Amino acid sequence: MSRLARRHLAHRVATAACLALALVAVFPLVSVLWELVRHGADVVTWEFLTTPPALPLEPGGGIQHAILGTGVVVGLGTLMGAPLGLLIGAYLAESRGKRAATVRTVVDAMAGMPSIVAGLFAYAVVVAAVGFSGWAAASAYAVLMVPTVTRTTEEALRTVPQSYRDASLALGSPRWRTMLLVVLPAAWGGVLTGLLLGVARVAGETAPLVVTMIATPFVSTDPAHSLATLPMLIYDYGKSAYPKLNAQAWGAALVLILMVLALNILVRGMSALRERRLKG
Amino acid sequence: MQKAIRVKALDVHYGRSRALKSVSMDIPERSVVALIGPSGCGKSTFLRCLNRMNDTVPGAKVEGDVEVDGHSVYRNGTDVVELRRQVGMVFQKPNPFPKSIRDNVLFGPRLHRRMDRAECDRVLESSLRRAAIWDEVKDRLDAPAMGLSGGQQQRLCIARALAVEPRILLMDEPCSALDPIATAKIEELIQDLKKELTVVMVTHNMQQAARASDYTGFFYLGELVEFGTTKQVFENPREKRTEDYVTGRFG
Repeated sequence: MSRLARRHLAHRVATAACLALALVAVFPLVSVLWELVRHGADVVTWEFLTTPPALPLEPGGGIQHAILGTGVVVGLGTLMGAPLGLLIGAYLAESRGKRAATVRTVVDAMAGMPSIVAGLFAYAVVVAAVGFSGWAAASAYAVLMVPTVTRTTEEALRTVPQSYRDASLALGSPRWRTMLLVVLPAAWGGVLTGLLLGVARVAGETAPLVVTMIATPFVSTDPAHSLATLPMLIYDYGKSAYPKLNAQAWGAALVLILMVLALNILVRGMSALRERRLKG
Repeated sequence: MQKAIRVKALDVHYGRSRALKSVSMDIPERSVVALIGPSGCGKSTFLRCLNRMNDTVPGAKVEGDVEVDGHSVYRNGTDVVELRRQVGMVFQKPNPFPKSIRDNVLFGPRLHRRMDRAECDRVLESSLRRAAIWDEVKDRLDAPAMGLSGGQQQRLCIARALAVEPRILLMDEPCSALDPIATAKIEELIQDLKKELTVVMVTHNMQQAARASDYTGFFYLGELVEFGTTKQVFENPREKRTEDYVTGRFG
Protein backbone atom coordinates (compact mmCIF):
# COMPACT_ATOMS: atom_id res chain seq x y z
CA MET A 1 0.00 0.00 0.00
CA SER A 2 1.30 3.41 -0.86
CA ARG A 3 2.00 6.04 1.79
CA LEU A 4 -0.84 8.22 0.56
CA ALA A 5 -3.36 5.38 0.60
CA ARG A 6 -2.29 4.52 4.12
CA ARG A 7 -2.86 8.07 5.25
CA HIS A 8 -6.30 8.15 3.64
CA LEU A 9 -7.15 4.93 5.43
CA ALA A 10 -5.96 6.28 8.77
CA HIS A 11 -8.05 9.38 8.19
CA ARG A 12 -11.16 7.33 7.53
CA VAL A 13 -10.61 5.03 10.51
CA ALA A 14 -10.07 8.00 12.86
CA THR A 15 -13.16 9.79 11.58
CA ALA A 16 -15.27 6.68 12.00
CA ALA A 17 -13.94 6.11 15.52
CA CYS A 18 -14.74 9.68 16.57
CA LEU A 19 -18.23 9.42 15.13
CA ALA A 20 -18.85 6.11 16.89
CA LEU A 21 -17.72 7.48 20.23
CA ALA A 22 -19.87 10.58 19.78
CA LEU A 23 -22.87 8.32 19.21
CA VAL A 24 -22.02 6.33 22.33
CA ALA A 25 -21.97 9.58 24.29
CA VAL A 26 -25.32 10.71 22.91
CA PHE A 27 -26.98 7.32 23.33
CA PRO A 28 -27.87 7.52 27.05
CA LEU A 29 -29.33 11.00 26.62
CA VAL A 30 -31.46 9.99 23.66
CA SER A 31 -32.64 6.78 25.28
CA VAL A 32 -33.67 8.62 28.45
CA LEU A 33 -35.63 11.11 26.36
CA TRP A 34 -37.14 8.30 24.31
CA GLU A 35 -38.31 6.37 27.40
CA LEU A 36 -39.81 9.56 28.83
CA VAL A 37 -41.70 10.31 25.64
CA ARG A 38 -42.83 6.68 25.24
CA HIS A 39 -44.27 6.48 28.75
CA GLY A 40 -45.19 10.08 29.37
CA ALA A 41 -46.46 11.52 26.08
CA ASP A 42 -49.97 10.13 26.48
CA VAL A 43 -50.24 11.43 30.03
CA VAL A 44 -49.28 14.99 29.30
CA THR A 45 -52.40 16.88 28.29
CA TRP A 46 -53.53 20.42 28.95
CA GLU A 47 -55.75 19.10 31.71
CA PHE A 48 -52.79 17.25 33.27
CA LEU A 49 -50.85 20.50 33.49
CA THR A 50 -53.66 22.67 34.81
CA THR A 51 -55.66 20.62 37.34
CA PRO A 52 -54.89 19.70 40.93
CA PRO A 53 -54.40 16.01 41.74
CA ALA A 54 -57.37 13.64 42.11
CA LEU A 55 -57.58 10.74 44.55
CA PRO A 56 -55.47 7.75 43.45
CA LEU A 57 -58.42 5.53 42.51
CA GLU A 58 -60.38 8.24 40.72
CA PRO A 59 -59.50 8.96 37.09
CA GLY A 60 -57.89 12.22 35.95
CA GLY A 61 -56.20 14.80 38.06
CA GLY A 62 -53.01 16.64 37.23
CA ILE A 63 -49.81 18.15 38.54
CA GLN A 64 -50.69 21.84 38.66
CA HIS A 65 -49.66 22.00 42.32
CA ALA A 66 -46.19 20.61 41.56
CA ILE A 67 -45.58 22.91 38.58
CA LEU A 68 -46.55 25.95 40.63
CA GLY A 69 -44.51 24.77 43.60
CA THR A 70 -41.41 24.13 41.50
CA GLY A 71 -41.86 27.57 39.94
CA VAL A 72 -42.02 29.25 43.33
CA VAL A 73 -39.10 27.36 44.85
CA VAL A 74 -36.83 27.71 41.81
CA GLY A 75 -37.83 31.37 41.42
CA LEU A 76 -37.11 32.24 45.04
CA GLY A 77 -33.90 30.22 44.99
CA THR A 78 -32.78 32.16 41.92
CA LEU A 79 -33.67 35.49 43.52
CA MET A 80 -31.51 34.56 46.50
CA GLY A 81 -28.65 32.74 44.78
CA ALA A 82 -28.21 34.61 41.49
CA PRO A 83 -27.33 38.06 42.89
CA LEU A 84 -24.85 36.45 45.24
CA GLY A 85 -23.26 34.47 42.41
CA LEU A 86 -23.18 37.55 40.16
CA LEU A 87 -21.46 39.67 42.78
CA ILE A 88 -18.89 37.01 43.68
CA GLY A 89 -18.25 36.40 39.98
CA ALA A 90 -17.73 40.12 39.38
CA TYR A 91 -15.33 40.28 42.32
CA LEU A 92 -13.31 37.33 41.03
CA ALA A 93 -13.15 38.73 37.51
CA GLU A 94 -11.92 42.15 38.64
CA SER A 95 -9.45 41.31 41.36
CA ARG A 96 -6.24 39.39 41.56
CA GLY A 97 -4.25 38.22 44.52
CA LYS A 98 -4.49 35.90 47.45
CA ARG A 99 -7.93 36.82 48.68
CA ALA A 100 -9.57 36.25 45.30
CA ALA A 101 -7.72 32.95 44.92
CA THR A 102 -9.06 31.79 48.28
CA VAL A 103 -12.60 32.74 47.36
CA ARG A 104 -12.23 30.90 44.05
CA THR A 105 -11.07 27.74 45.81
CA VAL A 106 -14.01 27.87 48.20
CA VAL A 107 -16.48 28.35 45.35
CA ASP A 108 -14.94 25.43 43.45
CA ALA A 109 -15.26 23.23 46.50
CA MET A 110 -18.89 24.31 46.81
CA ALA A 111 -19.51 23.27 43.20
CA GLY A 112 -18.72 19.69 44.16
CA MET A 113 -21.00 19.75 47.19
CA PRO A 114 -23.58 16.92 47.16
CA SER A 115 -27.06 18.40 46.94
CA ILE A 116 -28.20 16.54 50.05
CA VAL A 117 -25.58 18.47 52.00
CA ALA A 118 -27.06 21.74 50.79
CA GLY A 119 -30.43 20.38 51.86
CA LEU A 120 -29.16 19.48 55.31
CA PHE A 121 -27.63 22.93 55.62
CA ALA A 122 -31.01 24.46 54.84
CA TYR A 123 -32.59 22.00 57.27
CA ALA A 124 -30.25 22.99 60.08
CA VAL A 125 -30.52 26.73 59.47
CA VAL A 126 -33.88 27.52 57.88
CA VAL A 127 -36.11 24.61 58.84
CA ALA A 128 -34.94 24.93 62.41
CA ALA A 129 -35.99 28.57 62.37
CA VAL A 130 -39.21 28.66 60.34
CA GLY A 131 -40.13 25.00 59.84
CA PHE A 132 -40.59 22.90 56.68
CA SER A 133 -41.27 25.46 53.98
CA GLY A 134 -40.69 26.77 50.50
CA TRP A 135 -38.20 29.22 52.00
CA ALA A 136 -36.06 26.36 53.29
CA ALA A 137 -36.11 24.56 49.93
CA ALA A 138 -35.36 27.78 48.05
CA SER A 139 -32.35 28.55 50.24
CA ALA A 140 -30.96 25.07 49.59
CA TYR A 141 -31.39 25.73 45.85
CA ALA A 142 -29.67 29.10 46.27
CA VAL A 143 -26.65 27.48 47.91
CA LEU A 144 -26.43 24.97 45.04
CA MET A 145 -26.77 27.66 42.40
CA VAL A 146 -24.07 30.03 43.66
CA PRO A 147 -20.99 28.12 42.37
CA THR A 148 -22.38 27.66 38.85
CA VAL A 149 -23.44 31.27 38.54
CA THR A 150 -20.20 32.54 40.06
CA ARG A 151 -17.89 30.64 37.74
CA THR A 152 -19.82 31.31 34.54
CA THR A 153 -20.14 35.00 35.46
CA GLU A 154 -16.42 35.23 36.09
CA GLU A 155 -15.62 33.52 32.78
CA ALA A 156 -18.02 35.78 30.90
CA LEU A 157 -16.68 38.99 32.45
CA ARG A 158 -13.09 37.95 31.82
CA THR A 159 -13.76 37.70 28.08
CA VAL A 160 -14.49 41.44 28.01
CA PRO A 161 -11.36 43.07 26.57
CA GLN A 162 -9.27 45.17 28.95
CA SER A 163 -9.46 47.95 26.35
CA TYR A 164 -13.14 48.55 27.20
CA ARG A 165 -12.26 48.95 30.86
CA ASP A 166 -9.38 51.27 29.99
CA ALA A 167 -11.62 53.38 27.78
CA SER A 168 -14.19 53.76 30.52
CA LEU A 169 -11.66 54.48 33.28
CA ALA A 170 -9.88 57.04 31.10
CA LEU A 171 -13.17 58.91 30.71
CA GLY A 172 -13.26 59.36 34.46
CA SER A 173 -15.60 56.51 35.31
CA PRO A 174 -15.13 54.86 38.72
CA ARG A 175 -14.59 51.10 38.71
CA TRP A 176 -18.10 50.23 39.87
CA ARG A 177 -19.67 52.26 37.07
CA THR A 178 -17.26 50.73 34.58
CA MET A 179 -18.46 47.33 35.74
CA LEU A 180 -22.12 48.28 35.60
CA LEU A 181 -22.16 50.34 32.38
CA VAL A 182 -19.46 48.70 30.24
CA VAL A 183 -18.23 45.30 31.39
CA LEU A 184 -21.54 43.77 32.42
CA PRO A 185 -23.49 44.86 29.31
CA ALA A 186 -20.68 43.60 27.06
CA ALA A 187 -20.78 40.19 28.74
CA TRP A 188 -24.54 40.08 29.25
CA GLY A 189 -25.10 37.08 26.96
CA GLY A 190 -22.59 34.96 28.83
CA VAL A 191 -23.78 36.12 32.24
CA LEU A 192 -27.38 35.32 31.38
CA THR A 193 -26.36 31.91 30.08
CA GLY A 194 -24.61 31.21 33.36
CA LEU A 195 -27.63 32.31 35.31
CA LEU A 196 -30.01 30.05 33.44
CA LEU A 197 -27.52 27.18 33.55
CA GLY A 198 -27.59 27.64 37.31
CA VAL A 199 -31.40 27.51 37.25
CA ALA A 200 -31.40 24.42 35.06
CA ARG A 201 -28.85 22.82 37.35
CA VAL A 202 -31.08 23.05 40.41
CA ALA A 203 -34.55 22.69 38.87
CA GLY A 204 -34.41 18.91 38.99
CA GLU A 205 -32.60 18.51 42.31
CA THR A 206 -34.63 16.28 44.61
CA ALA A 207 -32.46 15.61 47.64
CA PRO A 208 -32.63 19.15 49.10
CA LEU A 209 -36.43 19.07 48.81
CA VAL A 210 -36.78 15.84 50.73
CA VAL A 211 -35.30 17.35 53.89
CA THR A 212 -36.83 20.82 53.64
CA MET A 213 -40.47 20.24 52.70
CA ILE A 214 -43.17 17.67 53.33
CA ALA A 215 -45.01 16.32 50.30
CA THR A 216 -48.43 17.90 49.90
CA PRO A 217 -51.32 17.40 47.47
CA PHE A 218 -52.58 20.97 47.85
CA VAL A 219 -52.27 23.75 45.29
CA SER A 220 -50.36 26.63 46.90
CA THR A 221 -47.77 29.28 46.09
CA ASP A 222 -47.10 30.32 49.67
CA PRO A 223 -43.44 29.67 50.47
CA ALA A 224 -44.11 29.89 54.21
CA HIS A 225 -45.45 26.32 54.01
CA SER A 226 -44.46 23.10 52.30
CA LEU A 227 -45.10 23.12 48.56
CA ALA A 228 -45.49 20.30 46.08
CA THR A 229 -42.67 20.12 43.51
CA LEU A 230 -42.08 18.13 40.35
CA PRO A 231 -39.02 16.18 41.54
CA MET A 232 -40.69 15.19 44.79
CA LEU A 233 -43.91 14.28 43.01
CA ILE A 234 -42.01 12.09 40.56
CA TYR A 235 -40.26 10.42 43.48
CA ASP A 236 -43.51 9.77 45.37
CA TYR A 237 -45.63 8.74 42.39
CA GLY A 238 -42.88 6.57 40.96
CA LYS A 239 -42.78 4.26 43.97
CA SER A 240 -46.54 4.38 44.50
CA ALA A 241 -48.67 1.21 44.38
CA TYR A 242 -51.26 2.85 42.09
CA PRO A 243 -50.67 2.36 38.34
CA LYS A 244 -52.30 5.71 37.58
CA LEU A 245 -49.74 7.52 39.73
CA ASN A 246 -46.88 5.55 38.14
CA ALA A 247 -48.06 6.75 34.73
CA GLN A 248 -48.38 10.32 35.97
CA ALA A 249 -44.81 10.15 37.29
CA TRP A 250 -43.64 9.55 33.71
CA GLY A 251 -45.69 12.50 32.54
CA ALA A 252 -44.30 14.77 35.26
CA ALA A 253 -40.74 13.68 34.41
CA LEU A 254 -41.33 14.58 30.77
CA VAL A 255 -42.69 17.99 31.80
CA LEU A 256 -39.68 18.66 34.02
CA ILE A 257 -37.14 17.78 31.37
CA LEU A 258 -38.98 19.85 28.75
CA MET A 259 -38.93 22.85 31.09
CA VAL A 260 -35.17 22.58 31.52
CA LEU A 261 -34.73 22.08 27.77
CA ALA A 262 -36.88 25.12 27.02
CA LEU A 263 -34.75 27.22 29.36
CA ASN A 264 -31.59 26.14 27.56
CA ILE A 265 -33.01 26.88 24.13
CA LEU A 266 -34.23 30.26 25.32
CA VAL A 267 -30.75 31.15 26.55
CA ARG A 268 -29.08 30.19 23.31
CA GLY A 269 -31.60 32.11 21.27
CA MET A 270 -31.21 35.22 23.38
CA SER A 271 -27.44 35.32 23.36
CA ALA A 272 -27.29 34.65 19.61
CA LEU A 273 -29.70 37.51 18.98
CA ARG A 274 -27.69 39.88 21.15
CA GLU A 275 -24.42 39.04 19.52
CA ARG A 276 -25.81 39.72 16.07
CA ARG A 277 -27.13 43.11 17.15
CA LEU A 278 -23.85 44.30 18.66
CA LYS A 279 -21.47 43.13 15.97
CA GLY A 280 -23.31 45.47 13.62
CA MET B 1 4.12 80.38 28.52
CA GLN B 2 1.74 78.72 31.01
CA LYS B 3 2.62 75.13 31.87
CA ALA B 4 -0.13 72.54 31.47
CA ILE B 5 1.84 69.68 32.98
CA ARG B 6 4.90 69.67 35.22
CA VAL B 7 6.57 66.33 35.78
CA LYS B 8 9.13 66.22 38.59
CA ALA B 9 11.61 63.38 39.01
CA LEU B 10 9.13 60.68 38.04
CA ASP B 11 10.19 57.11 38.81
CA VAL B 12 8.14 54.04 37.95
CA HIS B 13 8.82 50.44 38.93
CA TYR B 14 6.96 47.40 37.65
CA GLY B 15 7.78 44.85 40.29
CA ARG B 16 11.57 44.87 40.35
CA SER B 17 12.23 46.44 36.97
CA ARG B 18 12.58 50.20 36.70
CA ALA B 19 10.55 51.50 33.78
CA LEU B 20 11.18 55.23 34.24
CA LYS B 21 14.29 56.84 35.68
CA SER B 22 13.78 60.24 37.24
CA VAL B 23 12.02 61.90 34.35
CA SER B 24 11.25 65.61 34.53
CA MET B 25 9.40 67.56 31.87
CA ASP B 26 7.47 70.83 31.62
CA ILE B 27 4.77 70.83 28.99
CA PRO B 28 3.49 74.24 27.83
CA GLU B 29 -0.22 74.82 27.41
CA ARG B 30 -1.82 74.49 23.97
CA SER B 31 1.07 72.68 22.40
CA VAL B 32 1.57 69.27 20.85
CA VAL B 33 4.24 67.12 22.40
CA ALA B 34 5.52 64.00 20.67
CA LEU B 35 7.24 61.27 22.67
CA ILE B 36 9.55 59.10 20.60
CA GLY B 37 11.90 56.25 21.31
CA PRO B 38 12.27 52.52 20.73
CA SER B 39 9.67 50.04 22.07
CA GLY B 40 9.82 49.39 25.78
CA CYS B 41 11.65 52.64 26.57
CA GLY B 42 8.96 54.01 28.88
CA LYS B 43 6.97 56.35 26.61
CA SER B 44 3.63 54.68 27.26
CA THR B 45 4.42 54.28 30.95
CA PHE B 46 5.16 58.00 31.12
CA LEU B 47 1.93 58.84 29.30
CA ARG B 48 -0.15 56.62 31.56
CA CYS B 49 1.30 58.33 34.62
CA LEU B 50 -0.19 61.65 33.55
CA ASN B 51 -3.78 60.47 34.13
CA ARG B 52 -2.89 57.72 36.60
CA MET B 53 -3.93 54.88 34.32
CA ASN B 54 -1.03 52.96 35.81
CA ASP B 55 -3.15 52.57 38.93
CA THR B 56 -4.82 49.61 37.26
CA VAL B 57 -1.51 47.83 36.49
CA PRO B 58 -0.69 45.34 39.24
CA GLY B 59 2.71 45.86 40.82
CA ALA B 60 3.28 49.35 39.41
CA LYS B 61 4.88 51.80 41.85
CA VAL B 62 5.17 55.50 41.09
CA GLU B 63 7.53 57.96 42.83
CA GLY B 64 8.05 61.65 42.15
CA ASP B 65 5.20 63.92 41.20
CA VAL B 66 3.11 65.19 38.34
CA GLU B 67 1.30 68.51 38.44
CA VAL B 68 -1.61 69.21 36.15
CA ASP B 69 -2.65 72.87 36.13
CA GLY B 70 -0.71 73.35 39.32
CA HIS B 71 -2.41 70.52 41.20
CA SER B 72 -0.45 67.48 42.29
CA VAL B 73 -1.68 64.25 40.77
CA TYR B 74 -0.02 61.77 43.11
CA ARG B 75 -0.58 63.50 46.43
CA ASN B 76 -3.08 61.84 48.80
CA GLY B 77 -6.63 62.89 48.20
CA THR B 78 -6.31 63.49 44.48
CA ASP B 79 -9.67 62.74 42.89
CA VAL B 80 -8.72 60.35 40.09
CA VAL B 81 -12.15 60.67 38.52
CA GLU B 82 -11.84 64.46 38.30
CA LEU B 83 -8.25 64.16 37.07
CA ARG B 84 -9.27 61.88 34.20
CA ARG B 85 -12.02 64.28 33.27
CA GLN B 86 -9.32 66.93 32.81
CA VAL B 87 -6.84 64.59 31.15
CA GLY B 88 -8.45 62.49 28.42
CA MET B 89 -6.84 59.56 26.68
CA VAL B 90 -6.93 57.89 23.28
CA PHE B 91 -5.47 54.42 22.95
CA GLN B 92 -3.34 52.66 20.39
CA LYS B 93 -6.07 50.35 19.16
CA PRO B 94 -9.45 51.99 18.56
CA ASN B 95 -11.60 50.80 21.46
CA PRO B 96 -15.18 51.99 21.02
CA PHE B 97 -17.72 50.38 23.34
CA PRO B 98 -20.03 47.81 21.75
CA LYS B 99 -22.78 50.41 21.83
CA SER B 100 -24.20 52.89 19.34
CA ILE B 101 -22.17 55.84 18.07
CA ARG B 102 -24.38 58.16 20.13
CA ASP B 103 -23.94 56.18 23.35
CA ASN B 104 -20.19 56.06 22.84
CA VAL B 105 -19.86 59.83 22.63
CA LEU B 106 -22.30 60.54 25.45
CA PHE B 107 -20.82 57.94 27.81
CA GLY B 108 -18.40 60.37 29.43
CA PRO B 109 -20.63 63.46 29.76
CA ARG B 110 -23.47 61.38 31.20
CA LEU B 111 -21.13 60.10 33.90
CA HIS B 112 -20.42 63.56 35.11
CA ARG B 113 -23.72 65.38 34.88
CA ARG B 114 -27.41 65.05 34.09
CA MET B 115 -28.24 66.15 30.58
CA ASP B 116 -31.54 66.74 28.82
CA ARG B 117 -32.17 65.73 25.25
CA ALA B 118 -31.22 69.02 23.65
CA GLU B 119 -27.94 69.16 25.50
CA CYS B 120 -27.16 65.56 24.53
CA ASP B 121 -27.69 66.40 20.88
CA ARG B 122 -25.54 69.51 21.18
CA VAL B 123 -22.63 67.69 22.85
CA LEU B 124 -22.94 64.82 20.39
CA GLU B 125 -22.71 67.04 17.34
CA SER B 126 -19.97 69.33 18.60
CA SER B 127 -17.78 66.43 19.76
CA LEU B 128 -18.16 64.56 16.50
CA ARG B 129 -17.47 67.76 14.54
CA ARG B 130 -14.32 68.48 16.54
CA ALA B 131 -13.13 64.96 15.79
CA ALA B 132 -13.84 65.53 12.08
CA ILE B 133 -16.19 62.58 11.74
CA TRP B 134 -19.61 64.26 11.94
CA ASP B 135 -20.25 64.25 8.19
CA GLU B 136 -19.49 60.56 7.93
CA VAL B 137 -21.80 59.42 10.73
CA LYS B 138 -24.52 62.06 11.09
CA ASP B 139 -27.06 59.85 9.32
CA ARG B 140 -26.44 56.78 11.45
CA LEU B 141 -25.87 57.97 14.98
CA ASP B 142 -27.69 54.98 16.41
CA ALA B 143 -25.76 52.41 14.40
CA PRO B 144 -23.27 50.20 16.27
CA ALA B 145 -19.84 51.80 16.60
CA MET B 146 -18.22 48.46 15.81
CA GLY B 147 -19.49 48.74 12.24
CA LEU B 148 -17.24 51.74 11.48
CA SER B 149 -13.87 51.41 9.77
CA GLY B 150 -10.69 51.47 11.88
CA GLY B 151 -9.95 55.13 11.12
CA GLN B 152 -13.52 56.15 11.85
CA GLN B 153 -13.48 54.17 15.09
CA GLN B 154 -10.35 56.00 16.19
CA ARG B 155 -11.87 59.40 15.43
CA LEU B 156 -14.98 58.30 17.31
CA CYS B 157 -12.77 57.48 20.28
CA ILE B 158 -11.27 60.97 20.01
CA ALA B 159 -14.78 62.44 19.90
CA ARG B 160 -15.66 60.39 22.97
CA ALA B 161 -12.62 61.73 24.81
CA LEU B 162 -13.38 65.32 23.72
CA ALA B 163 -16.99 65.08 24.87
CA VAL B 164 -15.97 65.44 28.52
CA GLU B 165 -14.03 68.61 27.57
CA PRO B 166 -10.59 67.69 28.82
CA ARG B 167 -7.84 70.32 28.95
CA ILE B 168 -5.22 67.77 28.03
CA LEU B 169 -5.44 64.87 25.61
CA LEU B 170 -3.06 61.92 25.82
CA MET B 171 -2.65 59.79 22.72
CA ASP B 172 -0.83 56.48 22.79
CA GLU B 173 0.25 55.77 19.20
CA PRO B 174 -3.15 56.87 17.91
CA CYS B 175 -2.33 56.11 14.27
CA SER B 176 -0.36 52.88 14.46
CA ALA B 177 -3.40 50.79 13.53
CA LEU B 178 -4.51 53.12 10.73
CA ASP B 179 -3.81 53.54 7.03
CA PRO B 180 -2.04 56.69 5.71
CA ILE B 181 -5.24 58.50 4.76
CA ALA B 182 -6.82 58.01 8.18
CA THR B 183 -3.49 58.98 9.73
CA ALA B 184 -3.44 62.25 7.77
CA LYS B 185 -6.94 63.04 9.02
CA ILE B 186 -5.96 62.49 12.62
CA GLU B 187 -2.83 64.62 12.27
CA GLU B 188 -4.90 67.43 10.80
CA LEU B 189 -7.28 67.04 13.67
CA ILE B 190 -4.46 67.34 16.19
CA GLN B 191 -3.49 70.71 14.67
CA ASP B 192 -7.07 71.92 15.20
CA LEU B 193 -7.21 70.60 18.73
CA LYS B 194 -4.14 72.43 19.87
CA LYS B 195 -5.98 75.72 19.61
CA GLU B 196 -7.96 74.65 22.65
CA LEU B 197 -6.01 71.98 24.46
CA THR B 198 -2.67 70.35 25.08
CA VAL B 199 -1.88 67.13 23.26
CA VAL B 200 0.74 64.63 24.40
CA MET B 201 1.27 61.87 21.88
CA VAL B 202 3.41 58.76 21.74
CA THR B 203 4.49 57.85 18.24
CA HIS B 204 6.82 55.43 16.49
CA ASN B 205 6.60 57.39 13.31
CA MET B 206 9.46 59.87 13.09
CA GLN B 207 7.88 61.88 10.28
CA GLN B 208 4.70 62.16 12.27
CA ALA B 209 6.58 63.58 15.23
CA ALA B 210 8.38 66.03 12.96
CA ARG B 211 5.19 67.09 11.14
CA ALA B 212 2.65 67.23 13.90
CA SER B 213 4.39 68.32 17.09
CA ASP B 214 5.79 71.49 18.63
CA TYR B 215 7.97 69.75 21.19
CA THR B 216 9.60 66.35 21.12
CA GLY B 217 10.88 64.15 23.92
CA PHE B 218 13.23 61.27 23.20
CA PHE B 219 13.10 58.35 25.62
CA TYR B 220 15.68 55.63 25.81
CA LEU B 221 15.80 52.78 28.35
CA GLY B 222 13.54 54.60 30.79
CA GLU B 223 15.39 57.91 30.60
CA LEU B 224 14.26 61.11 29.00
CA VAL B 225 17.39 61.67 26.94
CA GLU B 226 16.37 64.92 25.37
CA PHE B 227 13.40 67.26 25.37
CA GLY B 228 13.10 70.41 23.31
CA THR B 229 11.32 72.05 20.40
CA THR B 230 10.73 69.60 17.61
CA LYS B 231 12.85 71.69 15.26
CA GLN B 232 15.79 71.62 17.64
CA VAL B 233 15.51 67.89 18.44
CA PHE B 234 15.35 66.86 14.82
CA GLU B 235 17.73 69.39 13.25
CA ASN B 236 20.18 70.09 15.99
CA PRO B 237 20.05 67.42 18.70
CA ARG B 238 22.23 67.99 21.74
CA GLU B 239 22.74 64.28 22.43
CA LYS B 240 24.47 61.78 20.24
CA ARG B 241 21.86 59.10 21.07
CA THR B 242 19.06 61.38 19.91
CA GLU B 243 20.84 62.13 16.67
CA ASP B 244 21.42 58.44 15.99
CA TYR B 245 17.77 57.68 16.63
CA VAL B 246 16.15 60.48 14.62
CA THR B 247 18.44 59.90 11.67
CA GLY B 248 17.57 56.20 11.76
CA ARG B 249 21.03 54.97 12.61
CA PHE B 250 19.76 52.75 15.40
CA GLY B 251 16.55 51.67 17.14
